[in-house]
This record gives sequence, C-alpha cells and structure tokens, in this order.
Amino acid sequence: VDWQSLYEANAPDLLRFLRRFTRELHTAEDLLHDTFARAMGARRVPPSDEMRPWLYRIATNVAISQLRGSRPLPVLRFLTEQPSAPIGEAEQVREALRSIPPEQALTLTLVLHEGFSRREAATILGVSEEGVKSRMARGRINFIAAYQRLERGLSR
Amino acid sequence: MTIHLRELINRSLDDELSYVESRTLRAHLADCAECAALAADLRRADALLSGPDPRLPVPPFDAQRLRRGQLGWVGIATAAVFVLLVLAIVGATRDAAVVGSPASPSGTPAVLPTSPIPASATPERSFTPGPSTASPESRCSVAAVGSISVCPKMVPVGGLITIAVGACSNAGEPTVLFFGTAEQFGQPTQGTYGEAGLGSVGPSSGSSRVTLAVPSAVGAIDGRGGGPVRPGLYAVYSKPDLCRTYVSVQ
Repeated sequence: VDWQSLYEANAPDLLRFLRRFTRELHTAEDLLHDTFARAMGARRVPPSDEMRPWLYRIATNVAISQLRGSRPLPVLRFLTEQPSAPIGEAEQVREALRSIPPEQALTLTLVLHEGFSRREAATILGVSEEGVKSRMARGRINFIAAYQRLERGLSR
Repeated sequence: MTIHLRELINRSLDDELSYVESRTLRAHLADCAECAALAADLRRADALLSGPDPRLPVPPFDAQRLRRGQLGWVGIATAAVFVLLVLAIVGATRDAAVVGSPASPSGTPAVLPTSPIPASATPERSFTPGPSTASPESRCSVAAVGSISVCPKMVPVGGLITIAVGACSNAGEPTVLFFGTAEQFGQPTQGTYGEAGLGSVGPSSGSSRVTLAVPSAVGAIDGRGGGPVRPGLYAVYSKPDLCRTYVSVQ
C-alpha cells in the first residue's frame, strides 16, 4: 500500500472533517495522526475503491473518543483580552457541534459536509440507513438550538 | 405540531418527499407560523453545517512517526518532559562551563567560570539574559519553522525567554502569544492553572521573535485558577490556536 499517496489524497479532507470536532487545530492534527497510525497498523486494508469510507470510519471512531473525552474541559476564555475576541461563524458551528451528542454531530457532518450518501454514512457509522436519518433529524434540532444559544450568548 | 409534520420537514430537507407530500407541507407551512419557523431553523442548520471550511495546511506525511504507532500527543509530551529532565541533569554538569562565556562554535567553553550556577537557571543550550556581546541567537537556537520555539526550555520564575514564531503567523497578521499552565492541554497538573497574554510577534509587529520575562502571575480561565506562577510545566501558545510549545518554569 502506498501510504504516502493515500495520505496526500485524503489527509486534507480528513483534517477538515476532524477539525469540526476539536477546539484547536493541533488537536485535529493529532487525531489525523491517530487515524493514519491506526490505518497503517491495520491487519487488513480494503481495496482502493473502499479506502475513503474506511479512512472516514477510522477517523469517526477517533473523533468519537475525542468528543466523549473532551467534554468536561472548560471553554478557553482569554481573560487578558478586553473585550473577548469575537468568534467566527465556523468556530460557532464547531462549538455547537461539540455540544450535541457525538453520534448526531458525526452523522450530520458526514452527510451534509463531507457529502456522503445516507447509505455510505450508514456503513461508516455501522448503523442502518434509518438510523442515519433519525440521527440527522434529532441532530438538526439539537444543533440549531445549540447554535442559537451561542448566538444569544454572543450578542449579550 | 405533530410528529408527522416534523418528520415531513426533515424528509423535505433530505429531498425525500413525494410531489403530493411536498404540496401538503408547503400548504401547511403557509398557515402555521410555528411549523414555518421550525422549517426555517432546520434549513438554516443544514446551510450552516454544509458551509465550506477553509482549506487547512496538512502536516507532511511522516511514515516513521506514524509507524511508531499511536504514541499520540500525550506520549510525545511525556517523552518531551523526560528529555527536558535529562537536559537539566546534563545542564547541571555543564552549565558552570557554559554560562559566562560566549559559546564557541563547537559548543565547548573556552573559559571556566569561577562561581557555580544553579542548574535550574540554565539548560544545556544556555541563554544568559543581560548585557552580552554575543547575540542570544548564537547561544540559544530558536529556529522556528511552522512552530513556536522558546529558548531556553527551562527558566526560573521571572527569567527571560526568547520566543520565535515560524509559520504559525497567519497571513501577514501578528501572532498573539499566551503563556499558561500546560494542564489545559491535557498535561499533568503542574504550575498554576491559568494564562497570561504575552503580546504579539510576527509580521506587522516588526519582528518574528521577542525576548521577554516569564510572567509573575497568570489570570483565571473560566473562573478557575489564577495566581502567582509556580514551578511547573507551562505552554506558550498562539491564538488563534495555531502553534504551541512548552517551557518548564523551575
């Protein structure tokens, strides 16, 4: 397996995908590293046409452990700055995603952002297509509620 | 609102409605403000979630590091702390020879000092604050490519560090630097929890490196911590979250 070519072809998308679930870029880079370390340590590697979903599957598992583990961490506020720096829309999307159940956040991102079909997302996540749809339905409501809370918090 | 309607709205976002269902939904949304608001919210969720993200610079492929397995960040940091400890011990045996004399190209001192220097004040690659004919760079390597470098890696409270900023400076903007306990990055509890601003460095601030004193106190983060800087592992990091490195306060 030519890992370098696979890395060069897939790492940009995977990093952007993982970045959605981390507060900081270097954490996403660590998760990207973990993803490829796991892939390269795998005993069986799928044929090339199944490679992209397989890598996303590993990245999804890596991201889930990150999302579950990083929850209690306090949000960094730079108290030395007056007033607190505004956060951009992209960061607000990420923050809202991190605050909803990880399964819903990952499902929404795989389908809406990464462009996987519901069937592909079902394979990546190891659930049925119906499971993907119900996660998306619940996820949308939770996400927009979290996003709007952040908006209100920021405009105060 | 009925569960049926909520499902219709969700399915409409998934492009799964039949023509008849779609007309039914449209007719209902025209009449029911509550459902129309929900539909608008959910459409907005999809628009936000499918919005483009900026392309990020990807770390280069490093087969050796990847093959070493899942060492991960904590493992690397632990190893780094270990290396720092080793450097401290080496420094304890060598610093008396290094401090007080300009480093010769080979790194070996030309003159032996007359007084002992505490090991904590000087790592192996020594950088002595204060007047000196030699530039700090000649004694303390702070090359920074794609990262923040801090030199020396071990300082006493109030000691001077030189910070160099590489490619973490963002699109010609100055890089805003912070100093805070490493605990917030998942390192073992050490030092005083909290952080302090260090100022900015990089393009348009005029220089890619600064020398400044380790702050004497850090402020609380989210109401937690804050207080005088105590010996421990601290991080120097840039915002927005581009680069980070560690410095050990003795």
